[in-house]
Amino acid sequence: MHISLAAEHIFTLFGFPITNTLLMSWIAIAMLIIVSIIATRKLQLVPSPLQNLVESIVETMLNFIEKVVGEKKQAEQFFPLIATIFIFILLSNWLGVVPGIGTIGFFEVDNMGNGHEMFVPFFRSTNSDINMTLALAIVAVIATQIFGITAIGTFKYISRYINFKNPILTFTGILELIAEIAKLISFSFRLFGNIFAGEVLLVVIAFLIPFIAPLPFMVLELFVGFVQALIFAMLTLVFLKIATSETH
Amino acid sequence: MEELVTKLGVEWKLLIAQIINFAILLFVLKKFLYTPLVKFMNTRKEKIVSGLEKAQKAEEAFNKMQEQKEQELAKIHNQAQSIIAKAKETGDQKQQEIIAAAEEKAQKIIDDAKSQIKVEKDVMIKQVRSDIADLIAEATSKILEQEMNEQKQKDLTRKTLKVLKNTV
Repeated sequence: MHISLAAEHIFTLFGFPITNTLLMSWIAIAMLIIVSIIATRKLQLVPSPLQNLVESIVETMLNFIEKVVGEKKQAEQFFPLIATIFIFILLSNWLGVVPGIGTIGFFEVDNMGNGHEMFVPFFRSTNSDINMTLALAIVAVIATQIFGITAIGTFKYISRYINFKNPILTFTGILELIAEIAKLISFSFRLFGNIFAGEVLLVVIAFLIPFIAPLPFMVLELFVGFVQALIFAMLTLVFLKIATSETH
Repeated sequence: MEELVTKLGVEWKLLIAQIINFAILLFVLKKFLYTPLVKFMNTRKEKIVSGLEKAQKAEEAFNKMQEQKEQELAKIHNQAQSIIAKAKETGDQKQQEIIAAAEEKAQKIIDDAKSQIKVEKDVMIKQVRSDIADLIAEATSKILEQEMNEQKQKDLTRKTLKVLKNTV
């Protein structure tokens, strides 16, 4: 049994490394895009089952965001980003729990130099790669800044972080800046840690007792995947709301 | 720090690739899913609301019409009733008139007949009287041929006639 913290490289395309987590994220993205295009290709007043499903998901998310934000217009503004974060993380997490998905792969001589053969799976849960979670965190934090600037103005927004009016404001500004960086780290490591731990847990359990025993853990991982997606999306939403509020 | 980054597998290329991946997903979903779907759902919502309103309005109109219809019916019924009553009245009146006229006519006919009869009776009586006078005169003359002269005869005739006149 070999567990690697970093995602394994499958092959290199024009000098660009392709990892198994990157492949997995492509699958998730492709699935989402295909489903959304099929579902909205022919919108009908009396919806088809797929349209109905997609509609109910979209409506639930929109209503949820509206409840948190408390304003319909702003909710519709935040909705695409929050919904995409949620759906993408949820689908990625759940795809990672699909039984047997980690067993498709090949053997490779490891780079320790002792000639030991190492199994490399083709697919690995997207969010068990720090690159993916960090990318999401960067998107979320940058989006927060952009929404904040467009909502309350560039100068006012920057004065939150860099302010020389009085020493207290200067100090809190520095704290705010640190908080933004802390957001990046907390966002990315929370998701990465949870999903990676889940992956490892499933591998270990499957290694110890291959039959039946992994099932409850899979259910648990489905739940964890949902909760992590919800947390990521909710936190982003709350940060967006804070960034776009005048009084702070 | 350097070691941590490599152990975790942070790679700038992959990081940027994932950011771009997510951006593409966000863009595509926004373009193909969120915007059209939310717009569509809003239109449907409006449609449903207006449909419900229309249904309510239609129901109200229907109720109103029903009411009007009933009122009209009642009105028509009343009118019919009054027309029938009027017709009956006129009929009765006409009947009375006709009966009265007929009675009058009958009376007239009866009266005419009576007067005719009377005239005829008078004529007959006159005739009879003269006939009787003649007869009496003849009989008397036959009986009293010898004992009575012309003067006496005339007196007797006159007396007899007087008596007869009084009796008849």
